[in-house]
Amino acid sequence: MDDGTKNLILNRAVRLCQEGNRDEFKSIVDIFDRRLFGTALLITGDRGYAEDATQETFVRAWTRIQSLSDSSKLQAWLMRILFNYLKGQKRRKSVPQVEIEAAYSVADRSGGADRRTIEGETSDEMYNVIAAMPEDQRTVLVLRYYEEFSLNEIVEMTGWRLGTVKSRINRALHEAKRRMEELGPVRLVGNERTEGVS
Amino acid sequence: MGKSNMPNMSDDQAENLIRQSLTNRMDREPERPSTFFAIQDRLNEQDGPSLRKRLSGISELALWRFVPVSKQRMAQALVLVAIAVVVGSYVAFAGSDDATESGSATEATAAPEPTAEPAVPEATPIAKLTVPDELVPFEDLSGFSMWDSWVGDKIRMPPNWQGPVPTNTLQPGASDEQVASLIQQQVEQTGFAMHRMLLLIYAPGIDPLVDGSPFVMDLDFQPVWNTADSWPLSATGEGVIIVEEFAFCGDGRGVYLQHSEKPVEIGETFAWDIYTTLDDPLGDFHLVMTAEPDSPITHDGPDPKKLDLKMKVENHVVTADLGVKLVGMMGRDPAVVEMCRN
Repeated sequence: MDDGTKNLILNRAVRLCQEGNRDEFKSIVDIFDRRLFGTALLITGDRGYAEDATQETFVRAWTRIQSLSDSSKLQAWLMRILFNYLKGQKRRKSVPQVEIEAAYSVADRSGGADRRTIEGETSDEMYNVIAAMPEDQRTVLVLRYYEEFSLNEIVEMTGWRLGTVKSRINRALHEAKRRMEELGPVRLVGNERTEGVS
Repeated sequence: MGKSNMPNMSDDQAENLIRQSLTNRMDREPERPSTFFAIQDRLNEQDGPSLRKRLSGISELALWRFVPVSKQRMAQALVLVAIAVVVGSYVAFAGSDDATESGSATEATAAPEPTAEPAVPEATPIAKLTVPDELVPFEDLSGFSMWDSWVGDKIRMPPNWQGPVPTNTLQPGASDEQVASLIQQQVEQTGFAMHRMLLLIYAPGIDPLVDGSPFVMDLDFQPVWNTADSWPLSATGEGVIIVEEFAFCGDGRGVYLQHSEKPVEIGETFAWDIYTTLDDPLGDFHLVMTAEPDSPITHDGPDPKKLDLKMKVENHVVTADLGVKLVGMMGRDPAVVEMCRN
């Protein structure tokens, strides 16, 4: 489905939902379900919690869809509801987070191999590094590099100041690089440089 | 973990690796049944359209008629700024330290007579405030709540009062004019200066304070103020429809830091002033707010924008001529102090 077709479907669905047509809400859920779940899972690291967050986001979206004045901003609007839910739950109780040691133990570095020459393994290790970060840093990385949102879109979704978003991304990037370098030589993904790999 | 012997990873390389790692992680995630089927029963229990009617009721019937030419944005801002007055008054009355710091501690008998004609600020042009790029997130600041201890006649000690008069209150028998003037003076000089404020507006019909105080006093935190973690209310709370954040300088300037709907307007400078009149019940006050010519927040009406709101505080909640509940939280931020020096 191209973007134009998708936008037409969403515009119509939003309009009908605002008129009280609940069946049309299914098309909205189907389009954004996996994306919201993925974001929630990557931020929280807990599948059950991500399921709950996804469901709660859609329920809240339904109850508030009348306040959505611009259907082209539906995705950002849904993400903001999801983010607010996660933030609110964090205040009420501890959101499950991946323990650092558990995260680093996932990748197998046994057999005396101190060099990770398999891209998938390197990717897993980076994921574990991200999973072990503070939630604020993990959140901006997911929104920026998984969802590919612009800085201004992230500002709109999170309510954080632009400078705060930038600094959290920079800190998270720096921390990711530092952690990966501590782990040892690595094949750099998406780049011709393979220093440290024999 | 061993010491690295690899060359430094570039930002591009790190970004690519992050993208790939997150995507790979999700690619391995199995297909799930549609969430829609899981939430159908809950959707049946909800009534979306009626909520819309309730929300639209605020804007069309109450909030916006207040300021017919400047539209939603300005009206929201003014109402919320007014909350700051109440919060500021709490600071003035609850903490003598604040008054001492700002040099505005007022002797009970020294309150000047109120002016018959309120001095509306002529704030155009006003010195632009430049918001620091790196402000501490509001939720990370220690903060304190608004309070209504000064409502009505509480600023004046009762007739049978024996003993010294506390700071920032008036002796028994002080005139209504002195009460009104002291409220105005302290709100101006102490309450607003150098503070950041997060303000929450709730949809009509939702009362966040129905179960008691909006804030939990943390007695282990010194001074005994609320801490960020002790705030049961937050911008993510049920029923919050608008979130605003401002910073106030002691010289009457203010600046937007955040708006939940239009973050592009961050950094807009405005001017504020407070006055009281004897025609209103003691404790009520007026907030005057003036925007710059061609202000982005008021571009859709004649310039300069100068608006006057009458506000009242009851049971921790500020009310104007509106149908919404408002709650504000204040935080003292050194970055705001520094910003206001310029």
